[in-house]
Amino acid sequence: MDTERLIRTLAENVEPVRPLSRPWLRAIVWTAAGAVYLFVLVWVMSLRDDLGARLHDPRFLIEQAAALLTGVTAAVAAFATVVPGHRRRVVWLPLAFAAVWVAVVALGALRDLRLVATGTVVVQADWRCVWAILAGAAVPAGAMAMMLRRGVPLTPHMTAALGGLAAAGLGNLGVCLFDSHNSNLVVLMWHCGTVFVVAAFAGILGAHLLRWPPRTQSLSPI
Amino acid sequence: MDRRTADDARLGGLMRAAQAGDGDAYLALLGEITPRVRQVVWRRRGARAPEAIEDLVQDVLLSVHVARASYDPGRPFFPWLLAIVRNRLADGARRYARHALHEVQVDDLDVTFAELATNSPAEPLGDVSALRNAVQGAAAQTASRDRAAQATGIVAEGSRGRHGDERRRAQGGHAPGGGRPSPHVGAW
Repeated sequence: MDTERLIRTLAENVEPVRPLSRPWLRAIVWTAAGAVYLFVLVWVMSLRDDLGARLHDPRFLIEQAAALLTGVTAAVAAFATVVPGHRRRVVWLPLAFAAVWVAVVALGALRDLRLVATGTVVVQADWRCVWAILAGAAVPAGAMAMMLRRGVPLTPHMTAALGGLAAAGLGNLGVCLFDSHNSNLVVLMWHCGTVFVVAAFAGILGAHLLRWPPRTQSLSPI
Repeated sequence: MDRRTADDARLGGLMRAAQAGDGDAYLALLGEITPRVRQVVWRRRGARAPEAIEDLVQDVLLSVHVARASYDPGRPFFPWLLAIVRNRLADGARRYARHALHEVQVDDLDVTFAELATNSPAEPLGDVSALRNAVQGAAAQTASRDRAAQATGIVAEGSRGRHGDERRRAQGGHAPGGGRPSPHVGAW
């Protein structure tokens, strides 16, 4: 088919489409839907006993705020990357909040390291948290994938990694509301570790998760 | 407002109309962007054949069509278009590299016949007596090997294969699967 004919065919068959909303607006919608799911999850699991006390701990609040902002900004960045030509600077935003989050947890972990040395605190594997984070991230991740596929994932690895970071960050926040830990070392290894492993894993699978153009929408003239 | 910004705003407006389903606006938009896309593709992949360039241009146009919902009317049009062009060019280069990796260049591939011609009856036979001596020598050698084999009960591997073929050839037959067929035998 020659190009002129292709252009005519495309123009004759053009159908109205709904333009994608702004990335930050889509991120708000996604976060709100994820929050509803997490609310149900936390309600089923019941809130942790010491939550009231922890809410007066500035370090805990900063940690959770940084985790939440990591998730939300990662969602904004993920939605921005599926808009061709969008500014890439937005990608650095979740990384900045993630750095704050890890730094706060790492400082607490350094303090706890001394307690581990004296035997006051025992650090052990916490697979329960891993599964809880994965359960908390599963539904938001599915919703994220569906929303990302509506866009144009030209950089699927980066987009999927950001989407994974957003979903796992939100899942982690939910887990922190019903699961308590006696050491920041556990949080650093099993919470932060899980979130970043999920993001990395999603990034690796990005090209398969976010194929563009999708197979069902192959590039054939009408 | 400079010319580029005005162009961008105009094309953005056409795309906005196309998103609403306006076929005329879409026709005008695709007609305007095609030479620009072709220019970009040509600049980056100029070494390719014109058909390959046109294939890439069409790939970009189809991608624009599939991606048109992702254009934000509040943002500039050209960065959106160029991001798609870059992606399709990179994808095209990857496809090209994959093809080239598994492709073997052959100048002239025989489809049915080997290029080597068969024997011609017009060919001179050469030194007939030397040929006869060679055949008799080979036959005598094979006969003595057969006698030795019968005496020892051991049959050498080669006597069933290569030497057997030699014997058949000496007797005027053809080696199975070996040698070129004579034009006088099994003509087809």
